[in-house]
Amino acid sequence: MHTFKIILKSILKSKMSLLIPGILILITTIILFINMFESGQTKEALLAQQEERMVPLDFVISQFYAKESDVGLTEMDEEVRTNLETQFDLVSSMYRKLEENNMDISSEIIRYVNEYETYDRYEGYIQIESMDQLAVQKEKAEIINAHGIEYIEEEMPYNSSLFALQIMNLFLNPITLLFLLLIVNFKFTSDQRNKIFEWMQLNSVSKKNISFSFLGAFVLTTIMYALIIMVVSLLPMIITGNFQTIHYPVELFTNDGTSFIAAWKLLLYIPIGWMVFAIMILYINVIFIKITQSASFAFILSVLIMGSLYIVNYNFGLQIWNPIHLLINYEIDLFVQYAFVDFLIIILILTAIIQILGFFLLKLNFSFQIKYNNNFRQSLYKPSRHFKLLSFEALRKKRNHTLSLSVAIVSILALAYYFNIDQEYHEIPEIYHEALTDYRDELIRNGAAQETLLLESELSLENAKNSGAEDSTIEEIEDATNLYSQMVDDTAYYIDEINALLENIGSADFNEEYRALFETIREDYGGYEIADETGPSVSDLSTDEMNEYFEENQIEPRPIGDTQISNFGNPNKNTEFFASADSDLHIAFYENNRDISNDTMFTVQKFFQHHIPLLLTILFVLIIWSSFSDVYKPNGVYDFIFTKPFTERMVLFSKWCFNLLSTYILLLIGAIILIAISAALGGIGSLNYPIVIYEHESLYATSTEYSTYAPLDEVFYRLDTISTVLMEASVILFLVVFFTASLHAVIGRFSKHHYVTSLVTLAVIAIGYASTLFYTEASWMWLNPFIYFDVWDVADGWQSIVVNDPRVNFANGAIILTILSVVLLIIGLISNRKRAM
Amino acid sequence: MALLTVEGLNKFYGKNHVLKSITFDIHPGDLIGLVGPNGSGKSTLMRSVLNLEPIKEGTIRLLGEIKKEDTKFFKYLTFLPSENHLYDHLTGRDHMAFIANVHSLDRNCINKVIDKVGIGGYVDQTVKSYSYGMRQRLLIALSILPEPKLIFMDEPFNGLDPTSVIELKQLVRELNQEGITLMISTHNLNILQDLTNDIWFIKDGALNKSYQKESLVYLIEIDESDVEYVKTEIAGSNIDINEDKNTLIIKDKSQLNNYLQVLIRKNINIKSVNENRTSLEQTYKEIYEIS
Repeated sequence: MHTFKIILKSILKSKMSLLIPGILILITTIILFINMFESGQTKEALLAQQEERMVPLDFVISQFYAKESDVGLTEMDEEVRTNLETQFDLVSSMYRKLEENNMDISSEIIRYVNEYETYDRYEGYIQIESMDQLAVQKEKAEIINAHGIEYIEEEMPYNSSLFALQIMNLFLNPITLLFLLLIVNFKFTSDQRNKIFEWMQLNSVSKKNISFSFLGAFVLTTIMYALIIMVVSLLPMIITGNFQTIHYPVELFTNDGTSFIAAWKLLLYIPIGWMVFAIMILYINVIFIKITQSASFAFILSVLIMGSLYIVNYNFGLQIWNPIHLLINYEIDLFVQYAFVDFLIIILILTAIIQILGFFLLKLNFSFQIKYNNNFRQSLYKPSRHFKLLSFEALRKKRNHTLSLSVAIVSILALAYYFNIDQEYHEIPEIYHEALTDYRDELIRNGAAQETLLLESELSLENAKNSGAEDSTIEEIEDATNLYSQMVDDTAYYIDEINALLENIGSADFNEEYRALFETIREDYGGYEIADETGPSVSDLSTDEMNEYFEENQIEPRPIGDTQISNFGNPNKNTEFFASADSDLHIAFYENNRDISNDTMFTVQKFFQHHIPLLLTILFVLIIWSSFSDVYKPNGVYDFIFTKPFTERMVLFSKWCFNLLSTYILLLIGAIILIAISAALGGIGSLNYPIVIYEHESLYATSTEYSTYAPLDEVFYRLDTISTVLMEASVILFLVVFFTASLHAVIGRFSKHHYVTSLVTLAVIAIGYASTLFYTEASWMWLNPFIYFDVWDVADGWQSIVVNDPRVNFANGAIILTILSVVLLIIGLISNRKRAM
Repeated sequence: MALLTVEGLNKFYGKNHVLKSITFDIHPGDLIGLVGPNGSGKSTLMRSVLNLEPIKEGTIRLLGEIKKEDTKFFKYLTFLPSENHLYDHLTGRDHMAFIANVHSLDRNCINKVIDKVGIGGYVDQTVKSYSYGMRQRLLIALSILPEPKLIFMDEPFNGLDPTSVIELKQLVRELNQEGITLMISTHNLNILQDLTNDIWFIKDGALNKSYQKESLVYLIEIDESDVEYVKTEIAGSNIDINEDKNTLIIKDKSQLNNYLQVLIRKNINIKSVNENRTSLEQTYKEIYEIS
C-alpha cells in the first residue's frame, strides 16, 4: 500500500498533474465561449425548414382558392384546404416562436405531422413533404415533448448535454489514450533512470509489489482524469439547470435510416467505455514492460494492438468481443438494440481475464532481455567520426528524451490525422443519405409548386375551351400545360429514383449509381449552381475533362457526387465569395460533391492542404530545435564547448544542421506512418489522380495548348497528376523548413534564452503569415517568403489567384525561399556576438 | 622554445583597462600558479588567452605558430573552468566520449582516465545527480583525456573537500611529472605554496613574477650574546639579522658557506642552520600592500 501511495504521490505531485487539468479546463472554457457566441445554427436550420414549408403550402392553398373562385370546391376539397391551412398556421406559429428564440416547438411539430398524415391519406392531392422524413421529425419531437424539454443548439451547444458530449468526445478518444500510454511509459523510463525502483527494492519492496503499485497508481490516475472530464463537461449543463437535456435525442445514422438515442446513454457509455479500455490497455502495457523490460517497445506493442483491433473492426464490423468499440462509438447498433449492456459485460469479462493473466505474469520474476534497449543503463554514446558536433547534438536530445518524445508525438498525430480521415470516410453513407433526402425533399417542394401550376393551367385550359377562346390562346395554354406536365413527370421520376437509391445505400454499385443519377439531374436542372450567362466555371469544365480522364485511365473518382468542385466552389477556400453571397445552395452543392476517400494519395494531399507539416514544424521548433542562444546563455556550457578544437561557426552550423535534419526526418516518419496505415486500410490510390492547377489570367493573352479558360471564374486551369503536385508541395515544404531554420538561427544569435528564440521565431512567422492575409494584393507580396507557407496552394497555383499575382508560383517560391534562407543563415553565422561572461 | 607565448595582451571592459600589456612565456614542464584577489583579473587573463574573451590587442601563440583562433590551439591545450557547467542530461561517460571523438582518440583511453581520476563509481550517471566535487573531478578527467601539452585550471580547488584537495594536488604533481605544463589560478596560497615555487601575482592588470624559487633564505641561529658582535663585525649586504630570534638571514645561497666559515673562525656558536622559504603570504601582503 505504501508503494502504491508513494508512486501515486509522485504522479499527482508532478508538473503534469497540474498542467493537464489546467489545459482541460482552459480548452473547455474556450470551446464554451466560442460556442456561446457562435451558436444559433440549429435555430437557423429550423427556421429555414419552416420557411421552406410555407412556400409550397402557400402555393397549394392558393390553388384551392383559385379553384374555388373558378369552379368551386367539393366537400373533400374543403376538408383538405382546412387541413392545409391548419398546417400553415402551425408552421407560421413555429416560425414566430423560433424568431423569438423560443425553441419549444415539439408539440407543434407533432401536430403538424399528424395533420400532414391526415392530408396524405386524401387521394389525388399534391405531395408537399416526404413521409419518411416527417416520421423521423415526429419521432424526435415526441421524445423531446415526452421529457418536457425544448429543441437545443446541436451544432455549437454550450449549456446542454450535447456540450458535455462534445467535450467527452474531444478528451476521451483513442488519441488521448495514446497520450496517456506515452505518459505512463515516460514515467516508467524516468523512474527507472533515476533508480527509483532500485531504491524501492533496496528497501525490501518486492518487484511484484512495485509492478502492481505502478499499475494501480496509473489506473487510479486514469479514472481521476475521466472523472475530471465528466465533471468539467457536465458543469455548464448543471449550472444552467438544463439537466433534463440528458434525455435529448441524439440523431445517429444507420444503414436502416436515422435512429435516436438519448444523450445520457452516450454520456454514460463514452467515459465508462474509455476508462475500461484504458485500464485494459494499461494492464497490457505494464505486462509488456515487465516482459520486455523496455518502455518504448511496450508502447509500440500496445499501439499495434490498438491498431489491430481497429483494423478488425474496419474489415469485419461490429464484433461483440472487440473492445475497440468501447472507444469508437459510431457502432450505433450497440445502442439501438441495448446491446451495449451485453457488450460491456463481455468486455468486463475480457478485462478480468487479462487482469488474472496479468496478475500471474507480474508476479513472476522473469524477464526476457531485449538487448537493443536496456533501460537499466544508458545506451552507450557512439559518436560519429565525421559528424562529431551533429552526433553530439543528437545525443543531447536523446538523453533528455526530446528525440523520443518528438517521434512519439509525430506518430500519434499521424495516426490521429488518419483516424479522422478514415472516420469521415466511414460517414459517406450518412452523407449520401443526407444529400439524397435533402435533394428529394427539395424536389418534392418544387414538385408541389409544379403540380399546382399544372392544375391551374389545366383549369385555365378547360375554361378557355369552355369559353370559346381563340385557338392560339388555347394552344398557348396547352403548351404551358404540357410543359408543366412534363416537369411534374420528371420530378416524380427523380423522386422515385432517389427513393430507390436510398434503399440501396451501402450496396456495391451505389457510388456509381449515385453519380450517374446526379449527372443526369445536373444535365437537366443544372445542379444547384445558379446559371450564369458569362459561361462555364472551372468546376463545370474540369468535371467533364476529369470524367473522361477517369474513364480512360480506369481511376475511381473521389467525390461522392458527380461534380469536381474547384476552389471557387469550396467555402473553405473561396471565403470571400461565401461570406458575401447567398450561398446556402452553393454550400449544399459543395457538401454533396466533396472529395472523400481514405487512400494514401488522398490522405497525403489532405495532410498538405490542412497545413499539418507546417504545424508539425512549428511544434518541433518548440520541442526539439537547438538554438544558437543555447551556447551563449548565462550559466551555460559556453566554456565547455568553446575550448575544443572547433570554431564557433562550426558549433552554430552543427546546431542549424541538427534542426533541419531532425525536422526532415520527423516529417518523413510522420509521412511514412501515414502512408503505411492509409495504404493498409484504404489502398495507395492512383498516382495519376488529376488535380486542377490554377493559372492566373494575366499569364496568357490567349488560351495555351495546355490550359483551358473558364470565363465564369476568369482563370486558366489545367490538370496535372497528384504525384507531381505532391512533389512540388514537398519541395516548397522542404524550403519552408530551411527558411524557418535560418530565421531561428538569426534570432538565436541575438537572444540569450532558448525559449525566447523559439517564441520570437514563431511570432515572426505568425506576423509574416498574417501580413499575407491583410495585404493580400500588395505588389510586393510575391517577395514575402511567408506567402509560400501555404505549400499546397502554391503548388496547385491557387495562391497566385488569391493574391492576384502570377509571380506567386512554385519557381519563384523556390528561389525566394532559398535565397532568403541562405542570407539569413550567413547573417546568423557571421554576426559578431559578445562572448558570455 | 616556449610552449605558450603571450605578448602585449591588453583587455578592456568598457573603459576599464583590466589587463595591461601582459607578456609572458610558459615553458614545457612549468607548473605556474596565478594568484590575485577577487576581481584582479586571473580568470579574465586565462579566458582572454583561451579566446573565450575578446581582447583589444595582443599576440598569443602556442608552440610558436598556432594562434588562439586556430582550431589546432585546443588540440594541445585544455581548460578546467571555474564554473563547472556541463550538460546535465548527459552522463560523465558521454562527455568523455565526446572529447575522445573530438580528438580522435581511442575509446580505451576513457577507461584509463576514469581510473586515474577515480570517477568510475558515477561516470555512467547523469551529471544532474553529481555533487560539486564530482563535477570538478569529471572536468579534470575531461581536461586530461586528450593528453594535452598545457592545461589551464581556473580555481580548481574551490568547493572541494580536504580529501579531494589532497588528491587533486597529487594528481597535479603527477601530471606535471609526466610532462604536462599547468597554469593554476587559485585563492588558496597554502595549496599553491605546496605545489609550486613559480607563482605569478596579478595586480592592477599587470603580472608580478617576483616570487621565484630563489625566494629561499637560510637562517643561522646564534647565541644572543653574539648577535651584537655579528651585527657590527660580520653582517653584509646579503645578510639580515633578526634580533628577536637571534637569527642571521642569508638570502644568497652561494654566500652561505662563506658566512658559516667566518662564524666558525670567529668562534661564534652556531646553534642551527635552516632553510626557510619566504612565506607566500608575506609576499602577497607586500605586493598587495596589506599590513
